[in-house]
Parts: sequence; structure tokens; C-alpha cells
Amino acid sequence: MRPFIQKSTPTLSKRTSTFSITKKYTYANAATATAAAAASATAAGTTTSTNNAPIVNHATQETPFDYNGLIDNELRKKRLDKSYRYFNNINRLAKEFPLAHRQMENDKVTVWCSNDYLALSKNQQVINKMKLTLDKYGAGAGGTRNIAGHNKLTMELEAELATLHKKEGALVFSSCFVANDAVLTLLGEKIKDLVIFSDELNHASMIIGIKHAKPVMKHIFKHNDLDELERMLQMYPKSTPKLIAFESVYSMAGSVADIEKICDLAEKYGCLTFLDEVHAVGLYGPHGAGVAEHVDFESHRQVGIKSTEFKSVMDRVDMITGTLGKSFGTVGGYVAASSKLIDWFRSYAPGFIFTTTLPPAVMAGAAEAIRFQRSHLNLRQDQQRNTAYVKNGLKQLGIPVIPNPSHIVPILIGNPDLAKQASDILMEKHKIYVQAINFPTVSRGTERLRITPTPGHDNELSDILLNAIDDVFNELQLPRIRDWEIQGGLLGVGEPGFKEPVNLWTQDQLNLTNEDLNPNVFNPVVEQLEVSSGIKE
Amino acid sequence: MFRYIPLRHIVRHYGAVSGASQKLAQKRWTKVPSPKELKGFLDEYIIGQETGKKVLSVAVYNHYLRINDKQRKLELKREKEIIREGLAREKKLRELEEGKDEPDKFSAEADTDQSEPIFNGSSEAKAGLRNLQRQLNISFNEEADNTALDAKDDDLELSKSNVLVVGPSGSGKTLLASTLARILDVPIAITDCTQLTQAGYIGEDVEVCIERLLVNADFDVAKAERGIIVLDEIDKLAKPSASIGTKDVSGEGVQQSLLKIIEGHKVEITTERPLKKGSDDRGNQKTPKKSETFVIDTSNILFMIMGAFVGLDKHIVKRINRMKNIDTEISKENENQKARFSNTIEEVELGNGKKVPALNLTTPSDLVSFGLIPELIGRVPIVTALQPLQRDDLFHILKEPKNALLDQYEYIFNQFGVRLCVTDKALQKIAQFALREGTGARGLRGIMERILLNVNYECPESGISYVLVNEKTVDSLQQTEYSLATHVDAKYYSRGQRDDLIRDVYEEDKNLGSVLDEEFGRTPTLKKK
Repeated sequence: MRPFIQKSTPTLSKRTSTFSITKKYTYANAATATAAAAASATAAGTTTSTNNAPIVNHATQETPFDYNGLIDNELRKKRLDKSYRYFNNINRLAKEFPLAHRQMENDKVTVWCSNDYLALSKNQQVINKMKLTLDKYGAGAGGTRNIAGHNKLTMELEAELATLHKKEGALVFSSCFVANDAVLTLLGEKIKDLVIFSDELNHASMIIGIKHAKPVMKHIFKHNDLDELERMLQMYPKSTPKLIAFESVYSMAGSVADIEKICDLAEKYGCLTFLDEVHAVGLYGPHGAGVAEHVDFESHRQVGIKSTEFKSVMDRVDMITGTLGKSFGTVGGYVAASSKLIDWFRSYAPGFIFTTTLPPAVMAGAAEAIRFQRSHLNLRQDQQRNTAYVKNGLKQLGIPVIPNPSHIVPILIGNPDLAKQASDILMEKHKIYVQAINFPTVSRGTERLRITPTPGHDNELSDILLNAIDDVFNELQLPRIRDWEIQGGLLGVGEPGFKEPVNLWTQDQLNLTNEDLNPNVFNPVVEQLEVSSGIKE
Repeated sequence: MFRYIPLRHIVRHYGAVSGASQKLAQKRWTKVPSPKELKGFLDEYIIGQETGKKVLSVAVYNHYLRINDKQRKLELKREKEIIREGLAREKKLRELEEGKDEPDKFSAEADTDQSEPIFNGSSEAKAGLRNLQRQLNISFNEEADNTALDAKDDDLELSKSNVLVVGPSGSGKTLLASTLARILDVPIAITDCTQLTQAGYIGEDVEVCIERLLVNADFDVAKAERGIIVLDEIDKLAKPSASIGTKDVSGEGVQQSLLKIIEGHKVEITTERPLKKGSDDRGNQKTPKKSETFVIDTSNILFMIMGAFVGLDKHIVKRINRMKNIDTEISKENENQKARFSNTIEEVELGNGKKVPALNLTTPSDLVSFGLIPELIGRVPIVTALQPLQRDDLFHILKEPKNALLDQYEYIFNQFGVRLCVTDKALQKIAQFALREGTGARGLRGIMERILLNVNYECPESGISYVLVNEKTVDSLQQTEYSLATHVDAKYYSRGQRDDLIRDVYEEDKNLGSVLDEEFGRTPTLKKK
């Protein structure tokens, strides 16, 4: 009802009034005919009353709008609720992983929170490849894909990505944030009547993409609650276009979606599926294609880079997005899907069309990193072993870790100020860098320290970390597991009857070696894809 | 300020509710150095003056509490806002869910996450909100399930208690202020009142004290507004007892213009702010400055006002004696005996026969009759007096604090290769001497200079390695006819006469003797015997 009231008081500041107009737009789309009728009836009633209200108009020709005042106020708010962010000067050293130096080169700290999960950004093979490409093709791509930015390295990278996810095609974006936003926006804009179902803990890029998509309707289901998702799906006829948007590993809690069941639901109710594997690629599956591959671990391991004979879970997911900036050590994002979808995104998505292609060296490096990690199962296994060691150590110390089946170690603090203090003490006293995670990355009141072990964080380093964290918990008197138990727990920490999730990597999988992989994953010849350049009629 | 509540206490009162949120709520406010810690710092630099140090430590501590309280209230207000918004959002979503009003549920969701990049209605957000609410309730000492959103002491604003320090010359007023400035992490500015005049007259305006504070706070207005301003020599602003018929622009006029600033007032200051250091093409240093206007609210700035108030003690004695109905003639006689500007401080005999310095009994009315205007005194509720230094105090001042006078001289003599030894007895004598001069601790330096002048003249490049100043040396200074004596009998020793030195030292000061023994790596003379 509100938009109508706002419309009748056009003297509000300009900002609010444009706001109300866009709102009205979405309302009008959404509202059924009866609702609209009812609304206009009430609007008629309210109009008369608001017309009598004194009109306050502060518009003047004397002074411009106080822009600085508004910005100051916003920043002050950030400081007051302790969500103001300070970036640390952390220079991660290529030759001394996982060490980094701070402002001064001799002031070194151990980095425990980077998302360079497999340390591939420091991998000699990747660096060499990038150096060669840099020397040969220079620093920049020279423009958008259409004008000057399309080259063999782009095609090779996209072919590599399509092979990794066993899809017909893949498309590289400037980042996965852009990829998610661009793809979801396009889906919503082009598919009339699209209804989007979104997990409540989806990453900001997807939430913003869905906002931009302006779907007729969106439903947010409780995190990983597939019963609720099904109830929501049931409300629509099978013919209504639907999209389920979700992640495999949720980055800040480490929880993992049941991809197979979601695919079952999608098939039953006629949905498209959009899966974000940003924090899973490189870390799960025999070849590092993510959790979707991990579900059918054995089958994929046996066939190598070929497709499985049956329709695997990875095949059933319509769109998989991922990043080149975390496990794959460089920068950029991508979507892998059928060649039709890729062709469509390539032709329509503004976030793809109007932006400069990644530098050649970056794409060459990313392709090299993907090839390297595909045949190095041991990287993933070491990462898992180190994670297990840290998690186990923390558990023995009674430090609250949000329980999850993945490689992420989120230590629950629950207060923005204390999380920052804990992070500062780790840095200053113990020379350990673990950034505090606060709003808006996580919800207020669930602030945490997020630790991400890598294959390089051996047991010796882990012991130092465990001691340091124990010391910080003592110094700041931070609540341990038993403290959370007393008040009923939070996010699975100390919650009565909470079932500990089973780790994704089984012991059998951890016992495999690189030799157990199919020989075809070692230096495979990957054909360039037609869809990367455009399909000839 | 936030109190630490023992866990068992909470459990008893609030049942099972405590645990994590309790712990989180406890550690939220920055730790303030306690009055004891503050006094500990002062003790390192300042000898004696127990009451004065105590009063200032408490004043500074309360100042810290007050400024933190203000910040904390703002933070809590923001937190309440967040929780309120969160609760309202949840309520709305719940209502919509129950009403199964589908089209509107969408719009409500669109509404709730309008400006936030993450979904505010997620189960994590809800759990987090519960956690925040618990912490907030505990900070307000409310029952955890009850809501502290409307707690009462919310708008209780603490006002400040400015301090007036009265103390005779050389008793350490300024040293106290500058020591505080060294140890506090709030900006502090010390201004002398002697140079101040009323606005429009030649001299400095009263705003200069705020300007100095601003400079000390690196032009950060918010930081300056939490600072401390010391106004030294306030007694020089006293209005003359008899009106001289013209406007008193450097005395009473200044007091009047200080009123608003001390009370708490928005003061506008235009000052030159240095932009960045650089040099012009000829290599000359130049600092471009930009004139900027700052508005500073002084309502949170703590004022410490200090002054010697020469003659105030006599006034107090007079007042007390009048109260005691002691024969006025005797007191008159006493008064005549003493020079008008005597530098000893009068003492008052209390009922129990104990004598205290008269300044300890200062009341506001005394200050008014001294010449401070009542409006000013009213704004400074805490009045404390520093004791005139006694012989023992002066002795300790020579030797003990960080930056002690004796250390300074030993260091200087060391520069030209001479070990200066001063016996305790000599120091005692010096202290007594200084006491008689009545210039307080500052007098010590003058006496030391006089004693060491000759030594300082003789020693450099003369082959002398050790100098001993003993009781006799100090006595010899006393005996000369001229106050600036050049004939002082210090004892000089060459490198080979080390044993003689130690023997002479032992005669007067065994402690110093054993220190020297250790320094030279000798077997102690005493043990040898």
C-alpha cells in the first residue's frame, strides 16, 4: 500500500521518491488484479488525508545537497556498530608460502585465512607459464571479447573449464561476482514469469543478481532445508519457469548442499539449477571440479576426463559458476553450462559484453593451474588432512568451531568488537594473520574468525596456531563450547542434539594416490570450443 | 561504567542464562587504567604529594570513564537500533507467513533486504540477533529474556568535575600536569594564564588553550573534545583587591571569558593547519599552511586549574583564627613580624594538636577573597592542595624519581670523564638549605649549581677522575659571604687515588661506599677489616 501514499506526497526528497517509483514497479508486477484493485481503493482513501497534511519542502536554490554530511553519517554508523573495516597490509611471499610480510619486509606473519586454498598462486609451473605468456603477449588483453580481447588463451581456458566440469561450454568473466550477477540478471530479464528459489545463505553476488533479475517472484528457503524448498516448488505448476540458485560449499559456515536431492527436485518440478562452486573447485572431486563431481567420486575417477556413462550429478546441474581467484590462484570467474546457454550468455549478458577481457597471462596461468591440480589429487588430500588436524586440535581445546563437513574452519566469536580484537592480538602478539569476519559478510552477532588451512600448513604450523588461539581465548575470555552449551548454542555450536555432519572426503578417498587417477588426466589434449568464438551456421 | 559480575552471581539471579553471551558482554568496553595504576605512574616521577596525586588520579580516571561512557552509549544506541530493526523485520515476515499473503511476502522480503547485500531474514541472522540481544541485556544488567531496549539510564549524561590545584611555588603542580601529559593517551595541553587577555586586547585570547589542545590532538576534533586542558598560574588572574578604576583586561576579564569554555560550550577556532612539509626550489624548508575553522565542544574537556596563590595561606590562617576567637592582637603581631612576601607557608594548628599547612583548608570563599570570581570557582568543584615540600621530600627529590637531579648531574660529569659522588649527608644538607630558601624543589637546582660551579670549572681536562661532595663541601658554601660562591671545598681525586676516595666516602655514607666498591670491582673495605 505504501507506494501509493508516497506517490501522493511528491514533495519528499528526490532520493526517496525515485525509490518509491521503482518499488511501485515491482509491486505492480507482483500484485494480482484483486490486490491492485484493493490497493487503489485504500489509496483513494489515504490520498485525501495526506493532502491535508502540511507540505514540507526544503528545496532551495541557495545551497546544494549536503553530500559530505550524508557520507560522514554513513561512515560513522559503520564505526559505531564496529563493522568498519580496516584492511591489513599483507604481502604474501611467493617463495616462502604461507608467510607474508607486512609494511616492513622483515616483519613476517603466517597467513591462515587466504583463499589460495591449494597455494597454486605460488606454484612454479603456473608462474613460469604466466611469465612466458607475459613476455610473448604483453600485459593487457586490449579490449572486450568482441573488439580486441578474444585470443587463443581465452579459448584454451574456456575449453579447460568445460572439460573440468564436463560441460559443453564455459564462459570466462572478470570475476565470479560478475558471472553470478550477469547470468542471474539475464535469466530473470529474459525468461518471462521466472520464479527464483534461493538459499537464505547465498553469497551477496547471487542475492544482488536476483535483485537485478527482478523475477516475478522469489522464494528464499531456509539454509539447506529441502522440505521447505519442495513446499515452495509445489505452489507452482510444472510449466512455470523456475530456477533454484544455491552454493555447494557455503564459504563462511562451510556447510554443503545436497546437490543430488536438489537436482531430483529440479527434475520433478521442472526447474533450472544454478550452482555456485566458488569455494569447492580445486578441493573436491577426484579432479577438483567441485562437490558436484565429488558426489560421484568413484565413477569420475575411473573415467578420468571423459564423461560418465550415466548422467552424473554434475551433468544434471544446468549452470555451474566458479572462480579462478581462489583455488586456481589467479583472478576471474566463469560459468560452465550447455553450449546453448553459453551462446546465449555470450550474446546477451551486458556484464560479459561490455568489459575488458582478462589479461592473457592471467588466463594462461589459470589454465595451467587447472591442468596442474587435476592430476594432483595429493594437494586436495593434504588440504583435507591439515584441516582435520586443526579442527581436531580446536575441539580438544574446547574452541567453538561451527560444525561443517568441508575444509572451512569458522571459529565462532559472536561479537564484532571482540572478533576484531582477537584478530589483532593474533597478528601483533603471535604473528598470525586471521582476519575477523564481520557484517555484511556474515550476519550481525555471528562474527567469526575464519581459518583456511592449505597443503602448506603442516602440523607444526598448526600447533603454533592452536596455541595462539588458545591464548587469545584466554586473554579475551572468549566463550568456549561449554559457554555456548549453557545458553542453548548458536549455529550448531553447543546446540543440544545437533548431529555432527559427516566429512565429504571419506577415509578411502584420502588413501588414494595420484597413480590411482585415470592416465588420461595427465596432460590431456583439450580441443578448443566452437562456442567460445561463436557457432557457425 | 560496566561492572564485572561474577558468574555465580548471574546464575543465581538469572537461572541458566549466562554462558557465552555473558562472557561476550563482559569484555566489551575498553579497559581504563585504574586510579591506582595512574598514581603508580605519577609516583615514578613525583615525590610526596600523596593527596594531590590521589585527587588527580581519580579525576583523570573519572574523565576516562565519562568519555568512554559517551562513546559506549552511542554504540549501544546503534546496537539497539539494529536489534529493533531486526525484530521488526522478523515480526513482519512472521505475520506475512502466517497470513499466507503470498504476493506481499515477496514485497516484504524485497523490502527487508533493500540495502543489505546479505539476506537479513536468514536463520543465521535470527540466531545472531538473539545473541546480540542477550549481550545487550546483560550489559544493561537486565534479565536476559527481558528486553533492555528501553533501559532507563540511557539518557543519563555524566557531567565533568574540574579540578583546582593549589600549592606553593615549587611543590610540583606543573610537574604533575606535564607528567600526566606524558602518560595519558588523551591529548592534554598546558597553558599559562599569565599571557591571556580579554578578546580584542594585545595578548592571547583564552581560546588559545583549546587551539593548543587541537594541535596536540593532530587536528582531530573528536579527539580534542576528549582531552584535558591545564590552566597554570590561574592566581595571576586574580582581580586586585582595590578597584583601580579601569577595566581589568588581563585579570578579571580573562576569568570571565574562561567561564563559558570551562562550563562546556561550542568554541569556534580558526587556526593554521600545516598541510605537508616540503622545500622550495632553493631547498628552504617550508610548510604550507591552510587556515581552517574548527568548532570544538568543550563540554567533555576536563579542566585542571593550578596556581600558587601566594598569600592565600595567611588569609586562611586569619579566617581560622577569627573563628577560634584567638586574641586578634597576637595575630596582628605575627603578621607584622613576617615579611609581606614570605615564602614559607603558614601552618594551622588543628584541635588535636596536629599542624597542617594552611592551604589544606582552602574553601571557595577563601579563593573569592583572593580575587577569583565566584562564577569561576563554582565551575571547579574539586579543590586540592599540594603540600609545601619538607626536608625529607627535597632529599628524595634529589635522588629518587626518574629524571632525578642527582642523576642528571652525574650524567653530565660523566660526559667529561668524572665520577661525581655526593654523600647522603651532603644531600640532606642541600635539602635543608633549599628548604630555607623557600623556592621549593626548583631551589635545589640553584644550590646544586652553586656547589658544582667550581667543580665544573676545574674538572674537565685536568686529570681529575673523581669528585666527592660531602657535608663539609655544602657547609663551605654556606659560610661564604657571597651567595654565588666560587670557593667551595669539594674533594678531587685522580685515577690513582681511588682508595682514598672510597675511604672518605665510607666516613659519611656506607651505602654509597659499597656502591662504589661494586662499581670498581673491589672487595668491600668493611669486609676487609
